[in-house]
Amino acid sequence: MISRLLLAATTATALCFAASANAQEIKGEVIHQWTSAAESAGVKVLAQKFTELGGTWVDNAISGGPNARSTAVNRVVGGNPPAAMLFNTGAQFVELQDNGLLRDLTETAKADNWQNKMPAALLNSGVVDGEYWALPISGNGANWFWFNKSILDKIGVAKPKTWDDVFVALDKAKAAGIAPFAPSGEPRWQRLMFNAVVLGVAGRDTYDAVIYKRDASAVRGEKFKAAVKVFEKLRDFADAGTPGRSWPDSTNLVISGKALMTQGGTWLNGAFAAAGKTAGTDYECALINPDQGMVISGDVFLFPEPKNAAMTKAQDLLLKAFADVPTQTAFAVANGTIPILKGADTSKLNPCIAEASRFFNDPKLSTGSDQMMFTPAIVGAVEDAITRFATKGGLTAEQFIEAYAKGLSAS
Amino acid sequence: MFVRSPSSSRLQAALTLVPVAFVVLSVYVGGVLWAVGISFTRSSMLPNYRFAGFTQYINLFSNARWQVSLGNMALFAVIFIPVTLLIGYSMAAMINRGVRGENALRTIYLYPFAMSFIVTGLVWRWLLDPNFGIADVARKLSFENASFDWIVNADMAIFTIIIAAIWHSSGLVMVVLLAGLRGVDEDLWKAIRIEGIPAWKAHLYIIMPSIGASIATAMVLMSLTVVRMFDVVVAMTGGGPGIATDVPAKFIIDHMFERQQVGLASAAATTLLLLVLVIAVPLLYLKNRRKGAAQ
Repeated sequence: MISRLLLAATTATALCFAASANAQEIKGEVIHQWTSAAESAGVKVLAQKFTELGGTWVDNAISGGPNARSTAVNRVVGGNPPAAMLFNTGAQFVELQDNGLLRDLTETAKADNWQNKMPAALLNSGVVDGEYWALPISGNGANWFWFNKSILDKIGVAKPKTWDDVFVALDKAKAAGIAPFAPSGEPRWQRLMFNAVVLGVAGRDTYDAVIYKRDASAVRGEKFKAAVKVFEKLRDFADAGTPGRSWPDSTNLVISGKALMTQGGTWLNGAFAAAGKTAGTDYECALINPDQGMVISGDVFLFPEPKNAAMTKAQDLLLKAFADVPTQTAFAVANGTIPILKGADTSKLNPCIAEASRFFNDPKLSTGSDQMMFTPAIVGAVEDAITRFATKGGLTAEQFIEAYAKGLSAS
Repeated sequence: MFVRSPSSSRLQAALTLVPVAFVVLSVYVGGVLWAVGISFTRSSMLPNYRFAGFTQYINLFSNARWQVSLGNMALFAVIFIPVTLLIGYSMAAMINRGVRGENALRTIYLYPFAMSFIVTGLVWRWLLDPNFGIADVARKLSFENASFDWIVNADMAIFTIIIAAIWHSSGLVMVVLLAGLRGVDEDLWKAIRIEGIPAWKAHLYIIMPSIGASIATAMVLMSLTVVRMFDVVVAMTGGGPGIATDVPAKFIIDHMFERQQVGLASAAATTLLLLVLVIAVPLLYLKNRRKGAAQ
């Protein structure tokens, strides 16, 4: 009996030592929402680099951006923060920073020369009073339209460049008995599509006035109204299954030739690629009225205020891994997003992503998404207005414009 | 050995309950009070204590989504509870007559309840999809003009959710009521048969009142389903088309987390709590009074 107790005690002690030896590893827990096939491949690239640098990657993938973010926020507020957490580019982090819950990255940013490594629009969305709080990790273009090439050929239409082109193509597809337009019916993607139409129809000045300055008079102006009308027209081409449909399901309808067109960001390209389709021969991607530019969005890593020296060390290594040019590029290629660091090798990119990359790196041809500039409360309020307008039998154009203008002052 | 005195066992019981009482008071009651307090502040992503008076409540009740949510919950309660009760009771009465294969039937009826609301929602979403669901099957069976688009129709979508919820909960109500029916005295049935009372009359005026406790239990379970209604909506319609099928729980979760409006969400949660109390307190009072009268 006693000998058995002794044995148990020794084993327990040995385990304790093993545990403390493990604690000396540089563990970096990362909360993120990258769970699709392409996204996981991207995460693997980042994790591999971190491991090479001597860290131990603790993966905490949570499906769904809002779920991942609320888990991360709860952990931070509860005093058990992860080493890094993924947020969308934009105002989401401001309140955490305001309450002193985030690590100030200014020193690292200056030492690593972020200013010259990344596009200003993306980097600056993480800067408050000259201090750096967020590290951009991925970039996307949001206002793309995607077409099934064989349907375009069948109805005898070239890749659309203007809104008139789009409606000609939609009419012809409809006449040929093919579903013309299969957008996603989830509110956030309806919001994305609405922004695409505002930029493409009302133009850059109106878009920037609304998104950057929350200018309600611009919303009530004629140009915005014209965009609302185009959105309404597009809505009426949407197929019956649209409400509630996810973007992968919608994209699938275009991939499988059941519908001509869908709308969505550069991440749709990953879905086409995963289905073995080639840009230019199987599908086309287009910005409509491209002179107005591209809406950019992206993700950033936030680093909570570290609890101890080990965590600081882990964060230092994570920062090093995430801002490494070859790693970042490999990550973007695997993930299907735009490489965000200057000096990235763009030769391996698919034509759609390469084109998006050109817009992305030209400040005259890129502007921020609503999520980058609006607080989440405003994003939510205008999203409610947009989804009610996007539903048949919902708001009229006039009611919608009022609801949108009012939403800009939500808090 | 030794026999415990009744008082020491009572003390022991009381001691055992102390941690539970502590958890209930601090976590549940404390949490509720805290949330009520937060609803009077300007809290956005993180809770803070800047007093805002009734601002959050004013914003809440001028919010179209909240109005739609409350309306949907009321509609849900008015249709879901009576219909589920009726179906559940009919199934229980049928099984209680001693049909063959009772066990198999009971399992089949209860089966939907074994599924989570998320799975229920997804299954019904696929069934009702206007392009690929039942409507498509009907078209392939040469009913070429068949179409069933309730789930994408803003006026009808809420009814598809009610149908799915009834399908999900009827089996449970059946089991609860069947347990009650099994407790009905054999002699009562014999008396009914001798008197030659028609079956529907016997059920409505004699049997149902005598299983009041089971019916009350079923009502409580269903009321909870109504107030908590969230997952089936998320899985079936995501609150859409537009905001047509939004419910209070979804409104609260969306604003609490994704939209970082903790104050507004707390005001909504407080309102929901008040509504539940307004309905529950008179019911409990009535029940207790009846108990008192019986004694």
